[in-house]
Amino acid sequence: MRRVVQNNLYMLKIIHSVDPWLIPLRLFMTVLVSATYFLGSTYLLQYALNAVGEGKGFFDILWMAILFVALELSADLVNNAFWQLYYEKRRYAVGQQVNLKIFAHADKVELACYENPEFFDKFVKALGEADDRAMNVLDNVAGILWCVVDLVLCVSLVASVHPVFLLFALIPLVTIPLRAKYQKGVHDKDMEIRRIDRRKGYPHRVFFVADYAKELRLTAMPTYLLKYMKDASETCRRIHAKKGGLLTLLECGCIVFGNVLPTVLTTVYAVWRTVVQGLMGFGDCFVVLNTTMRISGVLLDSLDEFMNFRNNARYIDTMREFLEYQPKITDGDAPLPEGGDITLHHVTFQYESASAPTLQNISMTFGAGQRIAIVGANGAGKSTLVKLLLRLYDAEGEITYGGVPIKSFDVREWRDMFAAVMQDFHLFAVSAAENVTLSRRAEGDEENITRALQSSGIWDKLYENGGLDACMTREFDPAGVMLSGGEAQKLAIAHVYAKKNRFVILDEPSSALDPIAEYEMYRTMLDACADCGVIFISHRLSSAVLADKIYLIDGGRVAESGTHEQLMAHDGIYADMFRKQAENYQETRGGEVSV
Amino acid sequence: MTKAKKQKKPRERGALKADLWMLRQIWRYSPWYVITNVLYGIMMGALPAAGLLYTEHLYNGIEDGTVFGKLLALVLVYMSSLLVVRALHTVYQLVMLPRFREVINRKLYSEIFAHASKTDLANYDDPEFFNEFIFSLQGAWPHVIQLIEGTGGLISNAVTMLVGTGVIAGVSPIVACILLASGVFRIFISKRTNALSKKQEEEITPVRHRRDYIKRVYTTPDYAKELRITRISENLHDDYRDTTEKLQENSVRYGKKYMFYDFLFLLILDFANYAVMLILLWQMLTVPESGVTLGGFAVGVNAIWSLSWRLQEMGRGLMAYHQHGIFVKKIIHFFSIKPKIVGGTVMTEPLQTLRVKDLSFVYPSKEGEVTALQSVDMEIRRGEKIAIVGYNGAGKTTLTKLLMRLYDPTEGCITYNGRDLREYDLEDLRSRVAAVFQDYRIFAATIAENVVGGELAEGENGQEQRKRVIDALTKSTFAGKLATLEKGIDTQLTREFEDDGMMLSGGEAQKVAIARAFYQDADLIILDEPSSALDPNAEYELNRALYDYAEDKTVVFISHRLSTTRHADRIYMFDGGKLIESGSHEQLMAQNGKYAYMFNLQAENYRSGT
Repeated sequence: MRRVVQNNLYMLKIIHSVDPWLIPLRLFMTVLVSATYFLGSTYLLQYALNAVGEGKGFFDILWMAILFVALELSADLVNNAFWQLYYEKRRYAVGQQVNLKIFAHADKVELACYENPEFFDKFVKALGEADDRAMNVLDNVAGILWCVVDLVLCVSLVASVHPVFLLFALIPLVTIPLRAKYQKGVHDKDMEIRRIDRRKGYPHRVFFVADYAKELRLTAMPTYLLKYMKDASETCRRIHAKKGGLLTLLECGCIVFGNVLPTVLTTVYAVWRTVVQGLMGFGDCFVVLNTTMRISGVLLDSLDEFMNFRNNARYIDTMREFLEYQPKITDGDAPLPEGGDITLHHVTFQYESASAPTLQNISMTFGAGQRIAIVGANGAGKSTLVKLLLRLYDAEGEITYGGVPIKSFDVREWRDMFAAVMQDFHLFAVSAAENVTLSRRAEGDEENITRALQSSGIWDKLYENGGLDACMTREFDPAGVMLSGGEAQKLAIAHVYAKKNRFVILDEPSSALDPIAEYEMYRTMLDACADCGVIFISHRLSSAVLADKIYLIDGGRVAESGTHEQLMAHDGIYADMFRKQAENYQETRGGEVSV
Repeated sequence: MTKAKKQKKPRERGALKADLWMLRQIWRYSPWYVITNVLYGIMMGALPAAGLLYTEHLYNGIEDGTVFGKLLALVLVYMSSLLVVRALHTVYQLVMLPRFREVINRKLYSEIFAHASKTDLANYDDPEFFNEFIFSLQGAWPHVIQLIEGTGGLISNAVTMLVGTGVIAGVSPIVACILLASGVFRIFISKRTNALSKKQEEEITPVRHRRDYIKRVYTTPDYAKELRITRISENLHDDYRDTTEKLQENSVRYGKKYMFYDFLFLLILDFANYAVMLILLWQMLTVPESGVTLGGFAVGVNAIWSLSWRLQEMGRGLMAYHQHGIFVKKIIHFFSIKPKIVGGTVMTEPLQTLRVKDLSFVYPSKEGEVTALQSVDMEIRRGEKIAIVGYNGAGKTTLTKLLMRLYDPTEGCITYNGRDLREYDLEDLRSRVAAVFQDYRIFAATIAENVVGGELAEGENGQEQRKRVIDALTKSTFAGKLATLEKGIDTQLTREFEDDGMMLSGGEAQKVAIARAFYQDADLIILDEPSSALDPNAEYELNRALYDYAEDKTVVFISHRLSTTRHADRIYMFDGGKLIESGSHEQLMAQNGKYAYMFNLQAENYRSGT
């Protein structure tokens, strides 16, 4: 209960911080509109009909009516202006506040969180709630207020006629357990259906996406998917049939006790008092019939509103759990040294979900200005190593830079030192220039960016397609630039050239490049990065030859290290791998390979 | 303005025609869905009409001092019929309707999907095809449902209106007129506000789209690394603020217009309501010959809400048909797209020769035509290993798509055993070809189903299939990984459905894709960059396997790594859509052209390194 109040207050505080006037104004409008609505729809009728009963003239009533019309219209006008000119704008502002809060926190939490399905789920849910949940809380408060105002007015009206009718208005409350059960039933059903819907959605995602189009034409997958869809649909039908019966019974119960029975009792009693006993006027009779059921309606509504608070609290809980999570990768306050080597001392790292360490007892040095190649089979842990350097994960053991543990630096500052192109890099649907800077543009940076694009060999293509401001991907602009895999890789690599780096990390930077482009990329890269450290992972060992030092990772350990010549002389795994790749490139077909 | 109106008319008729077409389809899918909706509409329309009559009788009874017993009977009869109707309503909504919808949804989308998988691949290259169809086909669903259920609603409102207006007109014709007039006015106003909100929606959609994108970047784990190692998140936050500003500006700009209409709307509503009440009172009090009684007054006051609201709903319902029609037209148009690539009748014999004769291919596109291949001549004989090499964008992948008839040549032709590809039965032809694409996809199904490319058979055939699947996976060097999987080839891939679904690494997924080709036992195997995600050892093993197992098969492979193409029987070098060199490795090296240059470039470090 306390948590419910706290969570709802949490959101109200956010609204308050965006605009302190929003909450009081919203509540004032609620009172204004509900009160005038009551006066116009209910009170006036009673007044008029009773006046008729008392034999008053038409004009007595007319003045009253004109007063009410004027009241109602002015309330409507004010309310309207409030919603259209004031509220909507603030609603966006509040949504932004919450969204940015979540974004900023998402930037901070460590990468491992994305691999934790539970945490990730929380994050997605939190973001799903960000737009509206805060305003939902306010709606809720306003809803309760509306109920209270309406209830006070209706109850006093009915009580003034004859308090016994209030008892009839209470009858529908017996349906509360039925409704709770009904709502739970609907919720359960929805949950079950939603699980299937996720399955039903899969064919939509497959058939309508160009990526799958080729496979769908060449395999029997379409038949499989259609059958699959049919099965899912049958399951849904069964769920509806199975759960529908109980829900119908509950709903009928609600109709009988929540509506029909109390209406019959109220009507019969009111008619009895009016016709037989003559204790009530027509106006009273009319008002009682119209208002008694409204009271029970409002009572039930207010219960729903209270339920909504609980609902809100559940969602807000998820959001707060996300926002209050303390990131494990934390900032230190040590200043970055002017320069130095990055050294790994006995580093061991295990992914949370893994059963064995990915890297074990790794010690290695990345010298300032050195070119280091990391080679090894798929899954050897090469990319993980890079992630440790970038502090996407923290590992056991110690990594130091210029002798200082990297955990004692500010994370942002530390990462800014690097330019990294990952194996599975992504372009963003922003301008070409922003894809290069990958940060806010600086004044007058065009030249620098253009130069970077030229260095990576993608400038000509972009120049034809709109230059620096060309929108990447067709996400927003139907005329956006679509790049092939190789071209995208070049654009990603341009980032390295556009920035002042102490270290450059390239994880399989040439996988989609053709041989010539690959050759040029390495040449340009090593030229451009003459004064910074370069760490590159490559399967093509021809590039490893260019390195000052090669580390061969095998099964999470540094199995071999040294220059190319040393490793070839050592005649170990590296030499074997190299020869396998090199044999087909040899001038003579010496040994006649069996391949 | 008048011009615009003139143009609008014929389009609306087209929309209605489309609606009728859709109704016929729905009738075909489930006639009961249509019938029950009509009956339901009538029933739900009769209820409030009966309510008005009941109110009138009740209050007249009270005024006239009718015997209490009679009034009691009236209340009980009405209330019990109300109970029955509402119970039926509940059954319909909770039990019947969802099941009907399920049927319609499945049948409609099955037909759409089946058609989609038959349309030409070329359609997918056309961004307009996507915007036009995919988007609307997915958005069409609520319109399809509304077409029927909205009609039910329309019937219901019409019944209430007719009966209700009759009842009121009986009480006071003037009041009936006011109610109708205020309803009509409000229909016009809501038409204006609808047009306004449509315009606003159009303005807002791109902005929302941008916001959704930012959220999507955040909720796609793939982007998480970039968000951390670069400062791109700042740009995204700026973008987000920018969208907020735009939305706010938009909301106020439109808010002013809405305010005007809303106020007009309320003005008419309030005036009509008060006018009805006052007129009835006036007639009751001062014009005895009008015959307005307490019952009439009560009916009038109650009807203010229900009738004018229903009239407005009817207006909205009628206007909706136009909207539905727009979407339905897209569906009709979609079904009318006939595939250009249709099979012939000839069944294929085992592959002997495949000839490419003077072939050109042009991608049609908005910005102008893009020539992908130009006057290409090639010959591939049974059992040959053919390599296609060249720079990025040289047209290599396009060529393989032409070989599978995913496209047809713009000029020239491809012959299979001397006969044009187009003369063969399409399915039969494609069954002769197995392909692993550069951008292969893994489906959210088991490993076995992914390899088979569909469902496994039951019983003995299934056992046989399973053996072949394991065999194919072994050939594609996936056996090592397979041995570590608890459920073996029944392991579910991707996390699409199961949170513990298997996520394969790039190299592993590629091996599964390659196993597909082995499984298919096709005559011609096409491999587009089959080893791009593999490490050197895996690549080495895979190449070995390819040569070993594909001995009698014809293999066409595209590769950037010239070491893998070296032993091909023939190498075709492409540049800018043209075939520039062809021959064996030795011949091409001797020729000392582009191939030799490319090869030497790659070999340089390997040579110096050993």
